[in-house]
Amino acid sequence: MTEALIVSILIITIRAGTSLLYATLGEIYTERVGILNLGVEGIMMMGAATAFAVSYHSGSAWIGLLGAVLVGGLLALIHAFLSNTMRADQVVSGLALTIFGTGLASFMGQRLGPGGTTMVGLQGPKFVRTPLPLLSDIPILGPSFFNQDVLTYGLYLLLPLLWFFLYRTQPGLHLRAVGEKPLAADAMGVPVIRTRYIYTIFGGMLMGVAGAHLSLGYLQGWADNITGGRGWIAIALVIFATWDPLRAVIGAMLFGGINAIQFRMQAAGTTIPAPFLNMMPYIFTIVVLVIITWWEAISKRLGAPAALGLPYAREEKH
Amino acid sequence: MHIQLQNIHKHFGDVKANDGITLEFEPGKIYGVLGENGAGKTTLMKVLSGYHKPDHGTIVIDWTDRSFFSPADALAAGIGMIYQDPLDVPSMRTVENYVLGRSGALAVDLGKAEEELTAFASTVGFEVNPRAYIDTLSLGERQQLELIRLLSLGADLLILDEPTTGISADQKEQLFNSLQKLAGKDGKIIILVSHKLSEVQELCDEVYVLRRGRKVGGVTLPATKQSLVSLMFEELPKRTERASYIREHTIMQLQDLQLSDGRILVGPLNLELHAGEVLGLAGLEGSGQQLLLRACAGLVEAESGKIIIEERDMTRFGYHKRREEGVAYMPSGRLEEGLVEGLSLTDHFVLAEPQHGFVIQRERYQQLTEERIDEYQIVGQSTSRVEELSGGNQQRALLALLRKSARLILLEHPTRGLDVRSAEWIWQVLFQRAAEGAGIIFFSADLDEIIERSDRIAAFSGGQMSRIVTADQTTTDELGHMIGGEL
Repeated sequence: MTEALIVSILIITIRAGTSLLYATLGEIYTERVGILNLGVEGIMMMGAATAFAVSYHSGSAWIGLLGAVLVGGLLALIHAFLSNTMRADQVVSGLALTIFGTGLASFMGQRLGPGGTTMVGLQGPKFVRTPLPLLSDIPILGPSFFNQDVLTYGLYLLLPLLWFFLYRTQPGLHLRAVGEKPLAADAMGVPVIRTRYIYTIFGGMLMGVAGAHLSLGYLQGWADNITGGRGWIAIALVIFATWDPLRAVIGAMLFGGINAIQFRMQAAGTTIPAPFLNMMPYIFTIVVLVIITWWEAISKRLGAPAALGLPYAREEKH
Repeated sequence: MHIQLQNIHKHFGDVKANDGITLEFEPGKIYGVLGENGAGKTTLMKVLSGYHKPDHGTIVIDWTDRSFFSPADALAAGIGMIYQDPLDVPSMRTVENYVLGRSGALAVDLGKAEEELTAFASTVGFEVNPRAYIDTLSLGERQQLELIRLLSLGADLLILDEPTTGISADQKEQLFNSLQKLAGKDGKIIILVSHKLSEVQELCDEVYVLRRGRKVGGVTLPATKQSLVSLMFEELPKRTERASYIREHTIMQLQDLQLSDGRILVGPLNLELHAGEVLGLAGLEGSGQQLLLRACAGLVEAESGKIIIEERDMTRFGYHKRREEGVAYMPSGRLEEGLVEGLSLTDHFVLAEPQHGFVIQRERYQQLTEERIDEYQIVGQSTSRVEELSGGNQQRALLALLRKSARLILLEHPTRGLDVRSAEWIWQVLFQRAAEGAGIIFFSADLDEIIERSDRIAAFSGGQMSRIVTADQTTTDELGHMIGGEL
């Protein structure tokens, strides 16, 4: 392979992986406090629609991003309220959020263009790729890793922070304890319900960013079903990552990489029908899930937070 | 620290768990809180440790009224409780668990915390490995960690709920030594909630006895066991005087049976169980006795050897097949393995009895359930969901679910967590089954129970079975040695 080909594949890999990784990180933080949010797909969709609509009308991608963050947080707040305060079934609540988000985003797409027309095909502000001085001069790595948009750069900063926060800080310890054994966390003085609210909302905000990256960075425009199931892939990647932010990178890169290779093959005019190539990342996800689940049965410690999906109330039983 | 509980009331629905209890605790003393199951001990301790809010009444610390909104609140005031199932986070390392409840800098210095933890542990007389994951530790070690953690957070009063259930004799001795030191030297208040009279007698200075949500007496030790028992119960439970029901007929025969669960190898075992015989298995938890029972029930496959039940080789029969053939098994986890949460008692009988057709004959089972409720004196309705029943009644329900036709009855901890009278009642039912010709094998953590209830006793140690002794000729001492590996 030529250097140019490698670079081009890497660029697409990272670009496709960015939104996925934001969503996966959001879900990891949510699940770590014991809340299962299956609304990722819906939140991403709303994030993408909001980001595009707001930035189109305001003329600033940054304001669009802010809008997506707020909408993501707000939708996650609904989920947090249902699962913590109302103690509703989290699977049902999450699925409802996805269906609601997908529908509303599609409606927004039809109406929030100029004069109440469609947003499809519009050009708006975007996050463009800007090479970082010096770093982008490194051969191969430079043009691929350090010639990206600002949201990808944000991820480079966010990742180590999220990892450090989770494993090396007091609040990180608290959030893990809440997801593993809320009763013990409560006894030690950790406010269980509040902690769950905070990180569910935080997770939703990251999912909002994931959506924004789709419509402002990766695809740069609005299209119906813009997420294309990426929200679900993110949920699978959480398991792949065994709830560890750093391992999520590998998953997102693999997924993005397969996407990139598949693009390349289509561009090179392979005889394999396009729909089959489009399927590849998803088939890959299934295979990985099977392997991980099988592997996880052997190494027990990598499992899900013990209290995942369970509502908490102090005076129940005991 | 000086503590008074004044007129504490706590009701759960119609149940008056605490009905106006007043107690006083002085520094430097070890208190025992005794009572039958459901006497309100645990509820009272949960009120004191901030877990429950009392409906009525006050907690007075050093002559100041206090009310707690959470366990953390109580701990800040110096009251810490160690639960039977310690409140720690299983997936975390020891040191993380230690750091969890403290306030400190945003970033945690785990290295420093490790040093702190080890140093603190040694002052209490324990050794800990700060890097070990909690779920790899034994119950006794987790208890020690909780003790260390609470003390390091400034607890002046420690409540221990049934601390000796499930820990080894060594760990118990270690625990009692440090508790004595904590009270005697450091002036802490220790409260021991227990069923076990001998432990209370061994450790405590004062005893409060509760019955049905009220305090019925306070005794300064030493006092005789008899006087404590008579306070706890309105009438003294009778000691079993029973005839042997052993018959000639052999129910089960084990031939060179070898078992393994990946951690421990059991056997080769050779054993004969006669009709009407009660065989007790002693040994520390995890020594192989549970594996044997589960193998007899058909839940664990034999590595080699034979299990012959009623003269038929059933080694390859699975659980359901053996059940049809008259093998009954009662697991130790009542709600985990024995009963289905969310289903009513009637539903359970539908599940347990042989099937008659596709559609459930409600009335038939309703009637059967009500008969059994009467027969087994279960406090509950046929429509009660099993998790609404108390522990003792769940145990009775499990017993009621054992098919009448069972020829071989396998029991794990048949009376764990039950008070003396419920236990006595359960054994009367089991002896009735033995008299009818069933063979019974059980294991228990309680040596007294094994000696009193068995005809013959075998001990397990590290997967090996000891010689078999007759119950009326053995002593606790002899069994202790057998459990210790002198097979």
